[in-house]
Amino acid sequence: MRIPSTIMVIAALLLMPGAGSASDYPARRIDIIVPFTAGGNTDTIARLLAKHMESSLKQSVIVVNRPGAGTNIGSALVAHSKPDGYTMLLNAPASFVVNQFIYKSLPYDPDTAFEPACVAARFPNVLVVNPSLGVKSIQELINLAKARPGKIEYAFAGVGASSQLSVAMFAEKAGIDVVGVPYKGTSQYLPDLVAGRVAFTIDNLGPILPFIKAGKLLALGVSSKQSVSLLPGVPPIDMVLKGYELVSWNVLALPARTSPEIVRIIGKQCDRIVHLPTVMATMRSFGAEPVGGTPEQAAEFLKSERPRWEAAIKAAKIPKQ
Amino acid sequence: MLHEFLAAGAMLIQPATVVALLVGIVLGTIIGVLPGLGPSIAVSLAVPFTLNMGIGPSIALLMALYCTSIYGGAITAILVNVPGTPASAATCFDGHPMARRGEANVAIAIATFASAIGGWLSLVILALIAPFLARFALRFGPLEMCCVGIFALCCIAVIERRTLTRAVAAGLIGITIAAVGQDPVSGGMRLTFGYFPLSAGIPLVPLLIGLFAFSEVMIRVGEIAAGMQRPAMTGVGFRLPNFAFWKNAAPLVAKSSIIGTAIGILPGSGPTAASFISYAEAKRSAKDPASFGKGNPHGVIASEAANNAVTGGALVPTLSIGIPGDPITAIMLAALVLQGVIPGPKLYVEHGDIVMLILMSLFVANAGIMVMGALGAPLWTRILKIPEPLLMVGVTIVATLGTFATDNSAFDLIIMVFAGFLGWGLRALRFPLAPLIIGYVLGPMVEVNLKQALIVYGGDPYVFIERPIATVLLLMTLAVLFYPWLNGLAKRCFGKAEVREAK
Repeated sequence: MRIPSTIMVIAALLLMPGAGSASDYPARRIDIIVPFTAGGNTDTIARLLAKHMESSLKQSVIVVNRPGAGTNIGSALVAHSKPDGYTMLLNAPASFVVNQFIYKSLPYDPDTAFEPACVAARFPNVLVVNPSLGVKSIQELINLAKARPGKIEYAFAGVGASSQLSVAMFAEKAGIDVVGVPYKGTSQYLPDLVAGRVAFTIDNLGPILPFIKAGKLLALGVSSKQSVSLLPGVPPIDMVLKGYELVSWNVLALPARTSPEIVRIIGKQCDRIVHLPTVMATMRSFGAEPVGGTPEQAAEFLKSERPRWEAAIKAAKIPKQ
Repeated sequence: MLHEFLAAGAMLIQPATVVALLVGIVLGTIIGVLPGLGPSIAVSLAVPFTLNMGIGPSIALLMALYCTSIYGGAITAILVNVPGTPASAATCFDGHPMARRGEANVAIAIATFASAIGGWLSLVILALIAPFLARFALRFGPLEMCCVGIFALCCIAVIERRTLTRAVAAGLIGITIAAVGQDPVSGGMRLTFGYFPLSAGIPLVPLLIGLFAFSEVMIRVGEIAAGMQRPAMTGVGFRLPNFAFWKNAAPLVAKSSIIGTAIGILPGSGPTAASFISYAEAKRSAKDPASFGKGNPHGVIASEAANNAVTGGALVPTLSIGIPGDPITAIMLAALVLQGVIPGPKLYVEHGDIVMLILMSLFVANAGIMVMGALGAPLWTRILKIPEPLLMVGVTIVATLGTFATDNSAFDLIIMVFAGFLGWGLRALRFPLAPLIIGYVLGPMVEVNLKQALIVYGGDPYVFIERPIATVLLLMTLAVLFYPWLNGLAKRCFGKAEVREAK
């Protein structure tokens, strides 16, 4: 039987993979949305990923900075974009397990809007004090704060930032009353911390490390359960306050309903890249710990992190906005 | 020292570094000229490329882009009354009236020279006393920065004495616009009316492009439609004023450069604030303040020397303590970290050659400004030959693309259009635009620092008169505010002649 060629062509056209199918992916430019201004930890990780994805996927991969509203602007953009694999999000805990507990209404549902592909990196936080405070250990800091309730100030990098939540959890577990001074970001409070106008903070190691090395700030503890290779001899806070653990991280995610094949391709890329020796070295130089793994592991990870951050936000007593 | 100098020199004359410098100088100037695109986008676009380059070319590219993109904005400001970058908004006030007078070639030459010399002077300060200055800058905490902001805000009163009520109103509009979005301290939403995209606030670039460029287009289109013909502008080329002019302007160049450098060093402020504050100071101290805004070359010098002097200043805390002096150096800091160079207290000891290379790149980049000015001006000034309707279409297209390119955000375009109508209305009602921008830039700075200071000092308002730097700044503010009154009093008491001398 002869099938007319017109029908064959139409059939062929219908069978052709539509946009967003995996077989021809990626066929055009990929955007990685970073909901922070250029220059921070997340931005730096995104640029490392973009550079290496570009060479192996043979498509240009662009980092787009869309900061604002506690990362909600950039996150909403990805949540509402076509689930075709060409727009993805690299973000800290904010849009996955934090903002649903801070904002009354969000233009996306953090629990269902994203398809996580890979945990790119973790950022252990470090507890630092200004040396002029005169405390040399976690216990001494707690004792001092107990002796002077409501008098010791700490810096944090914005509402819902991991610095605010880390200190809130620390204060709750230690039973101390400390006063938070809000800043727009880590680089904004560093001058005040170094000059001793604020006494301490618990924040991502990267921007703080040079000051620890120069002796301007004193590292007392790290927020992870294990100690950090960049800070030999600095104990986990967990040693003094049992069960204390709050580590920031970056998850690479695609919009919900993206084809699982594409999520897998991106996840594999991310997992491969964060384990490249040069990338690992660069990440470690600013205090990031490469993680990697499959999309399933990333989803599991988010599930396990959710209650931890919810508890920290409760401890910080942030009123719902 | 010599060893580091030679090592840096060797890196600088590598072919790749030379190419990076040249590319940076040419590209930076063009990015500066295009409205909407400015130094932050130039530097952030370059970061991914630096990942694949060595440390030498990376530094050369970033430094060249940084300096020249701030400079490039002046050209657009002068020729079409549209600031090419936010930092050159204050250049419009006198640069464009000069062009209207047929002196575009002179205005560009002055802007070019002032930019390069401002850049060089700040570089000298950076090279000689950076570690010392960085330590001093550390003494500026929230309290001191709050007072700096209050002082600078009061400069509005100085720039616009004739239209004080309108100027203060415009300043308040600016502060209100800046307050839109998430409260930086409590996290609560302000003036968003429940509309989600507003929660990120009103960004500077679309606001400025709308206020200056879009409103300019509307005004001119209105004139063209009404059949009004503006005299064709002349002044193609590049014409330097004579030596006597520069001798006369030298103190102003020096003062503006120092203001720019100082504002660059202080964290949280950038070239836009620097150029406005320097402009205000030039106008305040001028013998003929009334000529400002009508094409006084000193207005161009004040704005351009200051905004380029921010480069060296902002790098002072960036390099010596690892704290960026403005948003652009924050991106550069990240780029340096990716190259394995961690700026901070140890940089000068461990990577003296890198510091030297940064200084050399800045030196060459500022020389590049001179070359780009002299070679480019004959080309840029050809814009004057374009028929006005065509030029306006071009400005609209470029401004729209530039606004969109900054954040790839369609919402920014909506803001641009709204800001355009706002600017058009304000200009029709003879409201000055400078105070609006000053309010927008400084309002949040005062607010955040005030709240931080009150928390740090336990809510005690007396710290304002107990801390020496804060007290001095507040006294300076009072002096600026009461200067006209005191001056009037002096006039009545001592007669006119002496007062003129006192000025």
